[in-house]
Amino acid sequence: MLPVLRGRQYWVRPGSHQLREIVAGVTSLQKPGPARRKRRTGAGSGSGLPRWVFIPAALGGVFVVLPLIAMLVRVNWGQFGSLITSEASLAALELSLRTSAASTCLCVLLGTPMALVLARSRFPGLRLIRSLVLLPLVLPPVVGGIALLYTFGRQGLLGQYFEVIGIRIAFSTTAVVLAQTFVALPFLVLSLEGTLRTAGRQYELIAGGLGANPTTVLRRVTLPLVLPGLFSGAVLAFARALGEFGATLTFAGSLQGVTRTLPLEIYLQRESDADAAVALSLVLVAVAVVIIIVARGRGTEGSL
Amino acid sequence: MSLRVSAGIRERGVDFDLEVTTGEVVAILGPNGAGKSSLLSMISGALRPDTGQIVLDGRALVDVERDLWVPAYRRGVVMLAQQALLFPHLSAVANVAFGPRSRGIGRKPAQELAMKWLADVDAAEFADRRPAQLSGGQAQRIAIARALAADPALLLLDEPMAALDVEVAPALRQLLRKVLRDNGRTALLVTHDLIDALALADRVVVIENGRIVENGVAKTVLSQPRSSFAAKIAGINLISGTVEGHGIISAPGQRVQGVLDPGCVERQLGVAVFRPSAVSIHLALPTGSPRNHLPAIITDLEPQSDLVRVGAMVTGSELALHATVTAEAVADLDLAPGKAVYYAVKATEVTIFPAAGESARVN
Repeated sequence: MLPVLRGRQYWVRPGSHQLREIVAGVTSLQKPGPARRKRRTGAGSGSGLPRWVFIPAALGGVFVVLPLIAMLVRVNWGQFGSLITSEASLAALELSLRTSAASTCLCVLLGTPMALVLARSRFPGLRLIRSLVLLPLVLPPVVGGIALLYTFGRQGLLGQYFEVIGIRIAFSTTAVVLAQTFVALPFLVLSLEGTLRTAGRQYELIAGGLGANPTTVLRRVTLPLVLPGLFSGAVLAFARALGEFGATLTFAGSLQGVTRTLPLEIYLQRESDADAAVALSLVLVAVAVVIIIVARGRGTEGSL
Repeated sequence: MSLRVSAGIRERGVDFDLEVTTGEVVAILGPNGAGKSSLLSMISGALRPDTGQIVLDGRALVDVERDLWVPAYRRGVVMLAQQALLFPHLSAVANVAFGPRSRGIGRKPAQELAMKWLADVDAAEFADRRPAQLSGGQAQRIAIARALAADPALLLLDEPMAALDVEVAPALRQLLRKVLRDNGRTALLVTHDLIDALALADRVVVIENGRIVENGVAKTVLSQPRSSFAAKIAGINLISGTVEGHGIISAPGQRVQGVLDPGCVERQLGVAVFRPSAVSIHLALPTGSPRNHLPAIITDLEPQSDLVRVGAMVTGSELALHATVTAEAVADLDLAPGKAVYYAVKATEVTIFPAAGESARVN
């Protein structure tokens, strides 16, 4: 559509939505007058959307926010401090942060090369590999936990050999990290691969032409350029790891201080002490909000 | 001999035979899609030919028969494209230092080298700026410095001025002229602009349909084109000489007045360029406003739809000129081969450019 308009693009004010409207046939090509500018300030106008769309959109927004409010209302503020600083809570929080940080590191170490290969190389079967790699994204976490158990468990595919040399992974803190990495890895790979594709190869080709070998190109050009994408991918992976429940419970169990992360603790407390569960949930909400603020502050809005 | 290309890609229908000697600048002209970019990409290593070989300074870069393929980063070939493509996360000086650093030169010496090259392109003041803080012209200057700092055996220029504002282009052309010609760089220059070819290149190669159809001295190809593309953009009048005041003095001593390109230097070689349609033909010495009137003998008449292209040789020289006039004018003036006339052209229709070409290599 655009090439047809190209000759007349100078009528369009830079930064305005006018061009999109012209393409959509909403406004005709003419010099923007003050009257035209004013008309766009009314509710719903200018977006080009039918007004009724705003009703289900608002409903959706309420659906997301209302449960959070309901929880806030239910918080026992009088005992909030003591609830979240109980020994079990602190142990769970500390374990959660520790394991999530470790699995985020693992995700970065393994996921960055994966994203690079997926985004830059071409070989037969690459599409199939991509689908398989992204499988944990759509797989129920419990299924992931079972799969991990049959890999690293005592009688697992690899676990039986680890057992021989005296390494037990299942139901240990290592298992928590592995479970979290398993579910969080696709988030980082997907986010970074998108950034790499958007960045394109042009700077890498220039760097190669200037005599930089592939490792230098990767270190001095590719990675610095996709750093925001890597950061936002890592934040996503961290958030996903922090909330991991199903795979952890299946593969690592729920031992206080060893494998009982915050989500597990919340689930457990819900039966015995609802106030504690709500208080701890609020802690996770706070962490989530911080994550979103940090990620948005780095200009990664699009990918988060 | 520096560069020898005899390679092609069947799928793209391109096959080139090209030789470039060390220190030579060759302009590559041709319509869009003719294969100019394919040629550069094969030499730079971005595209793999499936026949033939490419040899640079005695070293084979590609030899399909021997299954030899040197990756881009080991070729010593640097490409300068339309867009400056400075690394956005590095300062200007770090961009220029990138090539030296990649060659294994230490941080400090690379920095010093980069500053020297920045000074060479008159961009030392921008050393600490990020690419986002530079204008298109400034960025392209720094891209030139970056390309040269990498010390390439061959420089590939892919329309380096096409994306720049009209006001910036002459200054950059002048800079390229300096860095290409003064240092005896070997370079291939893809361009749409015959001014670039005239000002920068020793030789012009015209590519059509994936083949080289013309190959010769810039002035010859542009003034006596044999290929249809060159004829379309060229077929212009070119008179070379020495720049003096607001014009040039040609070899036979004719003075041609015109508008000077900013790149012109007094007493240096220049070339006067004007379109055949700007020329009027007179039977007697004209006394009106046109500053230039050259006595000439008509050599040929070539009808072009309702116009006639009248060729003539300037008296006492081997200089061929063309004028496009109407068929009525030809009939009124009774123009025919052998007739003595005056070719007149207003000075405002003549542009004087600094010349490269065969004669410029003398100094």
